[in-house]
Amino acid sequence: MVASAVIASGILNGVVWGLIIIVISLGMCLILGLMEIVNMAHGEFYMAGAVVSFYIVQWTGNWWLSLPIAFAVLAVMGLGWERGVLKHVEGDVIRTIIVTFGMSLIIMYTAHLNIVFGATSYRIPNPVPFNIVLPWFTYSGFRTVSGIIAVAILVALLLFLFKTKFGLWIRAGRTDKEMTSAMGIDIGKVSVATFMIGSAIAGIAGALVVSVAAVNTYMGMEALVYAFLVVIIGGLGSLKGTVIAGFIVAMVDSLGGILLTPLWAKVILLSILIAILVFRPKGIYGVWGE
Amino acid sequence: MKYSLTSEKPAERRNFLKYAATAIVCGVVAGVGGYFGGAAAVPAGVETTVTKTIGGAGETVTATKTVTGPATTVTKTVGEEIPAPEGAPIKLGYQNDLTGMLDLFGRSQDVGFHSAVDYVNELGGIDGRPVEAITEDTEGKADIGMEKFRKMVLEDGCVAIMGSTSSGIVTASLPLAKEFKIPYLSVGAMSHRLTGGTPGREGFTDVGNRWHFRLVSQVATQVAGYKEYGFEHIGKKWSTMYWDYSWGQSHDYMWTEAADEYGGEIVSHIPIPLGTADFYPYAAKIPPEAEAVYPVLLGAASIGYLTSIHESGYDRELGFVICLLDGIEAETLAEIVEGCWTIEYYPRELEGCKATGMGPETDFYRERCRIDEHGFIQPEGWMATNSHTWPAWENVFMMKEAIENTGWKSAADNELIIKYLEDDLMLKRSKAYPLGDGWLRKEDHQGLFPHWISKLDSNGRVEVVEKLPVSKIAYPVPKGVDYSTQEL
Repeated sequence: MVASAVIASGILNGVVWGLIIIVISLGMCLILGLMEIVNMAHGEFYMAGAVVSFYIVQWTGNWWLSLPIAFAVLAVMGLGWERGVLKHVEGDVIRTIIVTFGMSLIIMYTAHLNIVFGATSYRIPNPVPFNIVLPWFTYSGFRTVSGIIAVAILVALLLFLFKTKFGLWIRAGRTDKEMTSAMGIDIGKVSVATFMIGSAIAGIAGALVVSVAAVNTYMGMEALVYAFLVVIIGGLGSLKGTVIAGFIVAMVDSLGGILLTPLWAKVILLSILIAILVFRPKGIYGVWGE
Repeated sequence: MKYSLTSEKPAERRNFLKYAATAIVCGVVAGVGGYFGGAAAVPAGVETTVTKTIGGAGETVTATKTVTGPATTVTKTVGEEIPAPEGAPIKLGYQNDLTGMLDLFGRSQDVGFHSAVDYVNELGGIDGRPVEAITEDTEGKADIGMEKFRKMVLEDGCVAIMGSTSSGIVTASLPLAKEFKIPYLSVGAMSHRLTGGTPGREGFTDVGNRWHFRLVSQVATQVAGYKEYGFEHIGKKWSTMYWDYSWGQSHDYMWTEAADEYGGEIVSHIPIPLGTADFYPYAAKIPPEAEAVYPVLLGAASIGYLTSIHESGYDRELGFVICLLDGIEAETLAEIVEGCWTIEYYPRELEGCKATGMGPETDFYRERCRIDEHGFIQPEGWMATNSHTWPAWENVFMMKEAIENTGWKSAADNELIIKYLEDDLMLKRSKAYPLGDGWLRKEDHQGLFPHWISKLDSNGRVEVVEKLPVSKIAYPVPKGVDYSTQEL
């Protein structure tokens, strides 16, 4: 490709990956903001979503069907973990880190079992077998569709949070849990629902990448790293910050990888992270900065 | 008193039975025809003339070597019982990549390894002793691979180790082979640095040692066989895209050298870090002046790579060694790879084997390894890494041959195996060595065997076009390399 086409494709790829990273990170941000849980297993929910999607495609040949199924399965999985494990450690950040790290290992190594998924990487055939052909470069149709779906998820999530009563409860709980509870809102149920939503959208993000990245039991680790980068750079608990940081991280990664090398792109990203932690520890928008 | 081969018996009776069994085996080996097929079994003491053409220099050397009928060609007279192996087992270890980046290779090669060991035990074991196969998973990581190497030698008592498909893991494990004095037989690692490298070229120098042998094809033989097709039939201006570690770097280096030889040009070198999930950014870097791309990746990543390159709009040529698609059913990629030329180290399709003169030995090998006519392992139904599995089979028989022809008794005698293997070992086409006639070169411990040029059809099938004899893929021994002069 000519240089301008390379840069254009890098920007477009950065936008698509940015949207997917934002979807993953928003789930983590919601959980952290309301429940004060640092969810080290968030990446594994993303991996689990990809695995579910892979199997649905294998059995039905229909990738579109796998999206709502991955959403539903991960919501149920999130419910199970929250009720079974996390409700006992909520509020204690250190304990949540340790417990969710354990959850992460359990999920990953369970998926590692041959009867579940195994240690082999798989890809599904491209379910959107057309390319977007522009005058000076070509871009993947599947990635474009994934990006559009990610936008739809973000819009739906934002509408849910800002236009519905339950969304109002979630935002209120994030601002002041005790006062929200005092107003008669069952903060426990709100927390459960938040964890389910966070897990489910991480799962659907996994389903969005099954034809782009190899599905394997280690993919969650990389996603977790990006989610943490975004959440820290954007500001803990800040939705707006997460969105902006998601694009920054994806653009640096994508363009840096094309124009320099992927290794240098990671170096730049981590340098940005260090600069944020040193000069603006609260992140771009800080805690509760909307 | 009841006598049986497995119960307690007087020493003299046991010795008599052993001698009798040995005499039967020797008699059968010295016989002609029988179960193994006449042309494939080489009677003892027969002179065989093999012509070696040293590639590059164009020099032709005629080697006359007396080939002793290897014990591996034991023939069985129908109805005759072969005594079950007994005594302390001979343990052969396999440092295999059952998980990780190379899992497609590991699972297939493990089938080859265990199938060979099972058959050897059916033949009476090695020197009358049962063979025990021990496989350990490297997880595709060098540190784990080394740890497993140590475990198999120090804890399990393995007397030889078959090596990983990862050139990185083998490179890391080579010093261990030397330290523990263990024959280390590569199964699929193909960096040219493992057997000679390019002396004097920084980053590509030799890392091998006297304890390491490699039957399987490697980068130098692959490029030697493929370069003419690449630069004469596909294009002159190439982009290389390769996994950025030893094996990929070898290919990039040697393909660049080949370009110089044929008046071609490598217009861009695109290294891809190991573990990359999204190949689109790399596909975007292919310059418009490249007529063809030489991708050097393998495993499940190949699917993502080919999909990404297609999504980027790349519609020019692809030319690659079979490693890119080995273990992968190419039907889903047919649109992308149709018409591409490749080089195989064992034909995927049985039809290709037959069309190029391979005989009943290959039928037997495929049957024992459960590889069907299209290269799938049954009943599991997954594609075998056909070009990388046969060494797992042949290495076992090579060890059997070496042990039985040297008087080896234990790991303390491993030096005998080394000296036997590096005596310009000729391997005749047989059930033990189904690939075909070839030899293991003394100086650099590299095997030289036929290769096959193939083309992918509209269904993603790999169809053989031409068999390349050893003379077409041989290359000169790297200057100054002679492992046989190293101290054991």
